Amino acid sequence: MWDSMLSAFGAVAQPGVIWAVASALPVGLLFGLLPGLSGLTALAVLIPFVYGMDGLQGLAFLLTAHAVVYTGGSVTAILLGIPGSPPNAATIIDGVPMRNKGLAGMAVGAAVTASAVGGLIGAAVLFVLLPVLRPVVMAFGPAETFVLAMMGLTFLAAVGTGSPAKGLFAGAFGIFLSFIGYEPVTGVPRYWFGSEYLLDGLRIIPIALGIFAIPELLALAAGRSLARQQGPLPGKQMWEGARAVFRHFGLSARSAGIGAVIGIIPGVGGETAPFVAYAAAKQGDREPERFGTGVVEGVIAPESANNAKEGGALVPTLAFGVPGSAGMALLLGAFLVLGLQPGPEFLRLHLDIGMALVLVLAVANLFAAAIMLLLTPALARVVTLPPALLVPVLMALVTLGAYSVANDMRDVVATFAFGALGVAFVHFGLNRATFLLGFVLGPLVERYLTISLNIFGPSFLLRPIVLVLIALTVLGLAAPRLRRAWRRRARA
Amino acid sequence: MSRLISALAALAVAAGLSAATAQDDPTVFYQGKNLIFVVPYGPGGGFDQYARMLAPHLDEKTGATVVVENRPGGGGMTAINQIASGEADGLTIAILNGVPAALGQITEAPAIRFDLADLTYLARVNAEPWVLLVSAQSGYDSLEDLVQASEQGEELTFGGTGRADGPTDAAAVVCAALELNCRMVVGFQGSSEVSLAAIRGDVTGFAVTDRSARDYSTGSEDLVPVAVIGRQRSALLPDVPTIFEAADEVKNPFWIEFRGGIVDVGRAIVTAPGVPEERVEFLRQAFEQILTDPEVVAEAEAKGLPISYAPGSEVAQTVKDVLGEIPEDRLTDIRDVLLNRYF
Repeated sequence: MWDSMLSAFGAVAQPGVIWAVASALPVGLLFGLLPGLSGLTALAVLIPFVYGMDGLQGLAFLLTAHAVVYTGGSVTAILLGIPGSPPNAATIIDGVPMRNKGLAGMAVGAAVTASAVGGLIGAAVLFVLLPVLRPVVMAFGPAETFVLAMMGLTFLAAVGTGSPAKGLFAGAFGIFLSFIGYEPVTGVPRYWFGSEYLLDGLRIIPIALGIFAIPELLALAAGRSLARQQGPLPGKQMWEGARAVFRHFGLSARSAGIGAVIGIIPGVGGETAPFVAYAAAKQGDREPERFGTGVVEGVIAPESANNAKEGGALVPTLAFGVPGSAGMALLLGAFLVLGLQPGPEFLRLHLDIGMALVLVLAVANLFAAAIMLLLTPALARVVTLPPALLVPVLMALVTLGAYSVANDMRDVVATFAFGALGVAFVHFGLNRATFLLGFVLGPLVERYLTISLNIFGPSFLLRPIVLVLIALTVLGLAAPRLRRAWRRRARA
Repeated sequence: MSRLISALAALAVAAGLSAATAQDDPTVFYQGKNLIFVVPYGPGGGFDQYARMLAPHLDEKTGATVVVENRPGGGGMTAINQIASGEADGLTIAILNGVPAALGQITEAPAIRFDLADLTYLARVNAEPWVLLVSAQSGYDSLEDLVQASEQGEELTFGGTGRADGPTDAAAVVCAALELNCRMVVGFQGSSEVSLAAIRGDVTGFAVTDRSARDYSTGSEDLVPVAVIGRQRSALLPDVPTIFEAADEVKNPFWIEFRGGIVDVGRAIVTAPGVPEERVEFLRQAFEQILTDPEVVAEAEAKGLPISYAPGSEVAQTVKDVLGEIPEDRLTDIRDVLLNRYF
């Protein structure tokens, strides 16, 4: 163990690797900042560059670029209300109200610091688990994944602000849209109306972009300007925000833990982690009604989870060659390109590479946060730019981002179609983040329920971890009510 | 004056003729043009790697600028749809995943709007035999174990991602060939997730390409390769018997031959139907030179990309044989086994 660690340190301290991390950092941050260009796009674009590099260098390059995307993405989510990548959508729920109150600097400072803390905790989780990855991944089968997805769905009501009925409707509509395309298990095509584009199912990036970015840009173009500069200068606010992460360290750590665990489970995918963390933060808070009005906790929770999940996602990727997230699927490809085969053999032969990756993850997150903190005062001034300048540039970026998903013009059309939907949502006061969550979770619930029934029959509900997760779900839902009852009893 | 006119006319005719022959001469035609090499999957995967490895060699042999373009979608079929209905100028080629394409066509999958028999085949890059793996948790470690268990009424479950996706139909033809009591458990997101399920013991086993089988089973005892689904052993797993060697009696060998033919289509390079003959020949020759060059083969092997070349004409023939005149009742049978019987 220890000599693996030492050799890992040695491997990472090579100039080639340091150079790889240093050059990937700004690229990853940039991809995160620019709306429409997500971590996946970053990886897809960068993989061809890796064909020439050697083992650890190439991996460090890709991992760095991918891991820090969410740090950069949080800034765009808060300042512009446009998620830099789908997992940043949960940050919008409280981030944008904070910006509107003039607290943009604080929100960004908190988001970036939470990202770093979350990323470090995620790396630590990975490090601790490296020797025992197998049993951990083995424990989470289709039944456990199903219950986790259901847990995510039950939080739909919790995540939404305003009327729970509207939140549920938005989420249900998201689930419905996820039905378009092949049914995950039987392969029966649904709601495709003969269109080849719909046969594959709707893609998440055009949806996330369209539904969040377009209404924002329309509002900007219509003359509404982003926040007035209220309160202390952005620079000062920023350190306030950074301090808040440590003041609420329990929350930060808990959210990171949630992110890491969700990252470990291969089937669930990364988008749900920030939402679950947000809902858990809200449900566990003394005054859950504050969430959604612009509280810093609502920014810390999702951002912490966002970066932690990358450490978690590496677990099944390294241990079994099973990608823990869509980004990991691409990273897996890179492993193979570099001549490494993740799987049971890999950790036995290359434990030091595994540890080196942990180090890279930790370092990348730290430096990303440092860079973003340095840039925040300048970036926060973006909100004061005239819309006439902002809108065309952002519109161009959104279009580019939509096209870059699969080199398909129809994705751009879809983005604008969802833009119209987004405008309708905003008009009717429907929660767009809830909608996105429903869209992401729908197929998971369907898929893993069918697989679980197929393998175990209904008795899958009696598996130990499943029971624990069900208990947690019930507890999570009941928490606010229980807390109120307990407080009443304490007062009496 | 009239001499000038006839001289000019002769010049014009000569220019016209040479332009025509320049168009006819593929060496001149491809010089400096963009040759798009379409990959029907996202970057980083096996097909992407093959294309990116071949692109510089193709660039050199044709004089064209080869650009690799990823067009994922439809399980790899959308890009092929586009190729099949695209311009027949020979400037767009694609690397085809033969197995799901052929199976999809036979089972009339909605994503497929091409006819494999119409496409122009330039070469086959590789064809991988499929191997049946069994979970150590199941307690079986040979094909005969599976046969006996099935005869005693045990149900064998095999994992896959969907219907006619590769793993599922490979397992299905084994079940049909040996008349096993099988059930498919599908819906997993990729064969690596299937492998996890098998390691856990959630399913009895699953089928994958020999390359994946080697990666999953080497150095670990969780998964045991029990048979190669075909007539010949795999070079990557020389100790694994073929299904004909491992089983006492293969009751319906047709299924193995049938799938073997589909596997032979393999990873093929295709272009649109109707491309002028000379350009097809030119590209076929280029690929032959590249894929039979021992240095290229060694370079590819080193990257984990084995090459087993077959000329385009041979692939075209295989496609005709496999997909050609299948009698209606046989077709119904095939569709039943691939889509119905074991679900």
